[in-house]
Amino acid sequence: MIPFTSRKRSRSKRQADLIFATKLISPSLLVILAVCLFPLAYGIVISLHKYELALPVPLSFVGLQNYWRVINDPTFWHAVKISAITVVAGAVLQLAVGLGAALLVNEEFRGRSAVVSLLLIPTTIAPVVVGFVFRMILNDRFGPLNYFLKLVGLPAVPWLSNPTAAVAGIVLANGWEWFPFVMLVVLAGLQSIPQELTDAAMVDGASSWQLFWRVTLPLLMPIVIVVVLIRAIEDLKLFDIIYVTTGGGPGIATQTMNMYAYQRGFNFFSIGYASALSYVQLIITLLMVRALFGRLSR
Amino acid sequence: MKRRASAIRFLLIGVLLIITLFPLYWMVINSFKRTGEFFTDPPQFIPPRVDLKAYQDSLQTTGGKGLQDSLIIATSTMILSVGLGCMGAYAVARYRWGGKNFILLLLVIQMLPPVSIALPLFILFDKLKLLDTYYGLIIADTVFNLPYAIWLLQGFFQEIPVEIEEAALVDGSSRWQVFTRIVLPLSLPGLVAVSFFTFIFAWNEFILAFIFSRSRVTPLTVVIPAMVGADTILWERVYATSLIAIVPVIILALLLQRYLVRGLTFGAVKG
Repeated sequence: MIPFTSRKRSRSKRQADLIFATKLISPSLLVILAVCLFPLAYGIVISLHKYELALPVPLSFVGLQNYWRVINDPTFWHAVKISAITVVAGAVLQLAVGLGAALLVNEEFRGRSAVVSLLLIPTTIAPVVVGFVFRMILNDRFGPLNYFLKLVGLPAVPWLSNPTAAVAGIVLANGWEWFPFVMLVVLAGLQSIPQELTDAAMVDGASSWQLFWRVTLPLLMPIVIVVVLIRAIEDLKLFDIIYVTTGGGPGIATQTMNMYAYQRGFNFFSIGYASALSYVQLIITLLMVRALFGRLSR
Repeated sequence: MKRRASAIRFLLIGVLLIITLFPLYWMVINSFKRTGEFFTDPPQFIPPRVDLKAYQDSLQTTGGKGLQDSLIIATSTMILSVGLGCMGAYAVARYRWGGKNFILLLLVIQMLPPVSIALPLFILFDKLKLLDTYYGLIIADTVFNLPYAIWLLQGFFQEIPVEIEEAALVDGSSRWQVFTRIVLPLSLPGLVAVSFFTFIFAWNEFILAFIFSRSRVTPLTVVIPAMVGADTILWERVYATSLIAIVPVIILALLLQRYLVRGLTFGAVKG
């Protein structure tokens, strides 16, 4: 990156540079300030109030009481657990399938680019649509997935009616949508590994198993961490698929932090409490990113 | 040995393709079914008929309006995000405006839980009479697309050799002229890619549209869940509308496959 400012420029020129750049960025800045940072700050103020749209006097200042309630709310901790499970299980599933798929299509064969194109279709589909497809595919009694499971002699799984299976169902639906993304990125990483390196390992007598674990995977590690980070951030925000497929149920079985904050805010109109919930979620997100980023920079 | 390995490989690729394409096939065939044919034991894998009735019904009822609204919202969001974003991105790329902190801010916006911003915006929009309007949805979508557009575009701008711009400055071009006459034309592929991505994100967006819309402005992602009635779901219409919603995006994505990795990783991986 070579910005103009790195050169020796006169003071008046640098000042003109700054004025020009500020003019360029000011429309974007205005939008971000007005529609993101201001509402965010306003949201923090709201979270310090008891704000119930359903009450005659909706607003009263309560300090950190909402946050205190969040910390002592078992439903919240359940939601944290469900969020953690969907993020971790989702990352494992998407990484395993995506990495496997990338290795499968890495070598040249006839029709390879067509296969890659077909495989990446799920990633482009609106999550709402994915939710509706899987709502039928995962149907306990009449869904095609259970039909196939029974066909190969496996027991049917009560995907949407059993609390544990419902979480698995959500992870599956979301995994179907996003494994191609992992595949594409890993594929880009694989293509950038110099051929000489793998050739040299082969000459030295490495088996393809050793080649993968000792050479390919370590070289892919930085890219894998970036992928996991992006997927973790996105899956923590996951809403559409859950809302459509299970609506957070059965009971609260698939209610993530997101779903819980949404429900508190827009179904029960506890605006203050829902705000506090979403800021605690933001803090958790930032801590997670920091932890993963720490690994990245090591 | 080698042959067996490659046979296994193609078998696995075949399985992967089936897993990927089956849900799409399922959507298509169920858009041809009628009430009573959706949940059968065993499931019906061959469509009983092939007709476009559900598609017609969808377009003539809420689906047509949904398509129109999705187009309006996604196109406007795209124009705003890329229009404002390319100026902001140039300030970041060449003049380092705001330094590291500004870039970090853009990243954090991307991590915000949707409710944390949707909730206060809902109250503000309610006061400003922006709920259930195109403006409200376009503004909300733009906020989440703008940081992304700036981030990605500044990566494209940095790839232009700085010498070209410096030479033009020495020749007496103004900074603005350098930006509009040299930088923008040179980064046309990047601009096209970012345009399509912001379009697709706004097109597929659900939670903001769902919270900020009522009855007047209803993009497709809001229309589809609304086809769930109290006791019946018009499955054929859900899937017909779904296909109307996803086919244009799939075609766009295949055309832009080259940029997919870069676009989806926030520019972290060049691809």
